[in-house]
Amino acid sequence: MNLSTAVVLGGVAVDGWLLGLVAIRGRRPWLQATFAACALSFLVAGASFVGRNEGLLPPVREDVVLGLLLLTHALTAILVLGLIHGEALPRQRAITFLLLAPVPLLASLAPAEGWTVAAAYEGNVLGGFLVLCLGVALAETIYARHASPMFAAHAFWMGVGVVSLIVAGPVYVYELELLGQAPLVGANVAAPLALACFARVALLTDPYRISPRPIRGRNATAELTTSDEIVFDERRPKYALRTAEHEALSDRATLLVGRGPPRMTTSGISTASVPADRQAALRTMTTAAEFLGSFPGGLLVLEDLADLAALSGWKPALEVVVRLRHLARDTGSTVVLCPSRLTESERKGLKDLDLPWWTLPDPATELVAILKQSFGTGAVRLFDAFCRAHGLRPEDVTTDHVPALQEFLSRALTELSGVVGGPAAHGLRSQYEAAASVLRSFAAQGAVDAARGKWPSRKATDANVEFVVTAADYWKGKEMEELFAAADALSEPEPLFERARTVFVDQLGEAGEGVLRTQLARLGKKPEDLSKADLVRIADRAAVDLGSLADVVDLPQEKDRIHRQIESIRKNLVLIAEGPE
Amino acid sequence: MNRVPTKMEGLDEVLGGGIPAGSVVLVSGAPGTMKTSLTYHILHANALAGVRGLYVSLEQSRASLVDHTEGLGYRLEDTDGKLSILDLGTLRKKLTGSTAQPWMDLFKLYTQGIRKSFDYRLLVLDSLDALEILAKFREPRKEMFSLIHWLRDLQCTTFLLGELSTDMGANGSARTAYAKHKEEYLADGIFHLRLARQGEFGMQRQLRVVKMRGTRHDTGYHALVFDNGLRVTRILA
Repeated sequence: MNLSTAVVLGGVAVDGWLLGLVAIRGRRPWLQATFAACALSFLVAGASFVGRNEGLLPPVREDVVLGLLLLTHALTAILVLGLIHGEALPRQRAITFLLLAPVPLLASLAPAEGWTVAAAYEGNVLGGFLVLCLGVALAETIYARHASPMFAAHAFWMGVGVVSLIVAGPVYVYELELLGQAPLVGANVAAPLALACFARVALLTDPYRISPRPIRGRNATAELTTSDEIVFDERRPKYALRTAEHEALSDRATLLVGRGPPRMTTSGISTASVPADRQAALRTMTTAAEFLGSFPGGLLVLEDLADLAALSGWKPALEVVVRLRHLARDTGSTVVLCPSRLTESERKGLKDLDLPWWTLPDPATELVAILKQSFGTGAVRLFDAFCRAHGLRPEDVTTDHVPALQEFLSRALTELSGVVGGPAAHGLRSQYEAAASVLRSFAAQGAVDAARGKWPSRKATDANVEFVVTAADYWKGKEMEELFAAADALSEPEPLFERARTVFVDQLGEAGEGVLRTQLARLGKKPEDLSKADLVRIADRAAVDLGSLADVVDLPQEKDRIHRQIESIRKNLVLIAEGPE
Repeated sequence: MNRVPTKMEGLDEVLGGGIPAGSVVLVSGAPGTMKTSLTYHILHANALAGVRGLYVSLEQSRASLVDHTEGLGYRLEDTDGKLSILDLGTLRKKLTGSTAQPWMDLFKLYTQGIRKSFDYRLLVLDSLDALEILAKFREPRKEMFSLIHWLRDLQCTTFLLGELSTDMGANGSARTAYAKHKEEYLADGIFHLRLARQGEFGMQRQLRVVKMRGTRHDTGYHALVFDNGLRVTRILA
């Protein structure tokens, strides 16, 4: 076996390995199929070259070998275009596949025209087609490198792949000819390098895992039917999530893309979690393209654009926004973006795109405004008591908490019934009924209604605040005070959560509560739902998690101290779990 | 005034003797301007003189940081345990559901806890940007303000590493912003590091002390040179 045959044989092995790697690790069926076809064509071409050179195969017809060579070139161009345009290529640029059409034609014409593989790159129709394929791939790569901040780094690697094929293909054959040596008929020694570059791009730009997979054939009664990209301008993405849940419950394929771990929801929303890496913008785009390509008419919610800007940079994040808009229009889908936490200049950049911009209220502010209309200035106190009772931070309150707020107010009134009677109790009940009615109608509003701007807080500023205070005074103020006191009493946190919190905070300081809440969230529990069985699980899981805290410290005394803290947390939680109520 | 010497040839002269103890100093610069090396040098040199320092790395792992700094000649063993590296970069990978963890609280938990058992006087946070992303600042300016106040209350000299983009103020144009969220107004001192063009093809690392409260310092750019250790010299045209 001579050196060139050995090199090609090694390349065949690498081609096979890359083929398997992309088939196993990839998440885009169409791109995987294209890669497999391209890799297989190189693999078969290389293997047949080795077989013929080593006498293991009988001489093959020239037109068959030529057909293989043509196929490798056409598939290379299609693969490169596929890597750039993703799963949208067959749908939006189907013309690309016409590159395959001349392959059988040129191969069948070869015997008549006297074309041989050894002289494939000569200045005739055959050579022109081969160079055209590589030229298309190279031109598209160069264009992507210059036009797309998001794709620039990957375009470089694709460029390396295509250039290596050109150098080891037409350029190498030309050089061998000049030196009077026999070319490597039908094999390209750079194929493994090129395929490695393409595989790198394919795997690094793969979409995120979507869980659970949406069900095909849905889209029954969607409410948000705009085929466009809408900006939900709110302090935190609350209406965005609510809209996603609503649409998912209406049997619409809905995907939520965000930084956090996948959410446990009962509405059937699919989620994709964005890890902290520089490819975040591009992978979010490929995830969106794959999702909306598979489920046209679906809804995609990008939970926080600022995360993409922080991970990949603002320019790539903005490119995602622009491309998502095209994608939404092409697929008749809706994309919702949340610009919370963007800087002023980034918001300005986003506004310059002239996307539909919905300004939405913060539910916490609106709920306080509604309570103010009935309970005057004590509304804030009532709301805080409610938050404490449910272990919520005010900024986490959404319209989903309205039934719980009503229930809380009702309980406070019931507690008062033994103390306050007669017209005062009746008056308070009327105020509660009025507040509950407005709360219900506010909670029933979706993003579409809320975006119209009829918010309780805006009405409240028009209202005569003095009048509200006077109404409270009418009830002598005392009954109101007693209502607030009753609410405060109800707001004592659930004992079990509070006891667990004390254990964590005693050992870990301010971080303790956050660590406990993280563990709770992973169990899918709320503070008020915490049970003793959960405490044992939290104790075990927290011990494992917190063990990592000690591992990253290089001071023995500090390691010991952290281990002691962990053990203390574990023991105390078990004690609470085993102890009396 | 009690000053912390940087123990870097040329820099202490620029600073008029060192950094006022207890200051919060922002070290900002584009990638490759030696922010890590500069602050590690200060910690390492002070550790050799018996002053304890803590390096909190959110991006690089401990092994990678030690490998990098030992390549520059800063051997960790030489400090006799006076320099500690807190490897939060590895914690990010090990902690399950790390994105949901209360990173700001964890950072405070560590730095405060370690202070009790290892009375460090110098602290480096590498980097502020990584902490911001991990901790998911909802109101960056407000939270940055609160963090810097908290660090000041630690009563140790703190260096906060901040990433700047490469395409601004590199040469010629005077940079006016050294941080994303105006933390330059909150910090007591600012070191700005940059790569400046030298001739047609060359690049030179340069350092400027933009601000140092309580100090009469030289405000011009100086060359930051690494040969036998880091040193700051005049820029020769």
